[in-house]
Amino acid sequence: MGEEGKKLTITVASDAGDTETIELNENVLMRQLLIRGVHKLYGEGENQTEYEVLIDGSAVEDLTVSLKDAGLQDGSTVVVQKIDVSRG
Amino acid sequence: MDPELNAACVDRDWPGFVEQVQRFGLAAPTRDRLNLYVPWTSPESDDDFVAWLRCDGYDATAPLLQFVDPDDWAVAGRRWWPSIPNATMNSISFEGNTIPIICTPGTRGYHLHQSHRGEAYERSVWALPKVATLLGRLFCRWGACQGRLG
Repeated sequence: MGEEGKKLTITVASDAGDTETIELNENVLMRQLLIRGVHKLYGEGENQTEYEVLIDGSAVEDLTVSLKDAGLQDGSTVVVQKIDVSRG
Repeated sequence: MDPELNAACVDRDWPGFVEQVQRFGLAAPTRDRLNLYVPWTSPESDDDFVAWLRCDGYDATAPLLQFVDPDDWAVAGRRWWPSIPNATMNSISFEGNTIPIICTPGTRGYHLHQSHRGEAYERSVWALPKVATLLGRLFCRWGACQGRLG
């Protein structure tokens, strides 16, 4: 049985402005987008817990919501960046 | 730095800067040759701010971040900076003035500060799209704005 819901093509952007596209079902959780975004943008060895997803500058705090419920649509763009940066 | 090369570097990275600024939900930046401007209105204090990136020497040198009077962009100074308590900041003396700086690599003030002057960084650290991300963090991720620095 296939997944219900639409397939979304999401553009993920790194902190350097590099972009990749990811295809996911709209009912998949935001955590999956984060994991795949981190791996595509920063490499497979990166720890996804050190990163966050931002939609229009707002961090997605609850990664258990679906892409659809987070407001993402086909063609949406998000930023995936490290939560902490060097400060001091 | 050769002026033509300087301008060419800004030309090269300007489109990426514009895109990255807008990915943070910020208003489209404007440009006057080597000077880039990013407007922002604090959702907490409702104050208007305009970040000014002076890109002379870019990309051999990081852009210099200052803030200008939203009503007269020719006027810059500490009083036009946002007060964001969670943003780690300091100051440097530059061209006869004391200007605030953000204590994160990527803008010239950080790299000129005596604590960091001897540190070596790849110029990619201050590539314009990355500086856009730094502004995105300042405006969107480092906590509530409490008005102007004053």
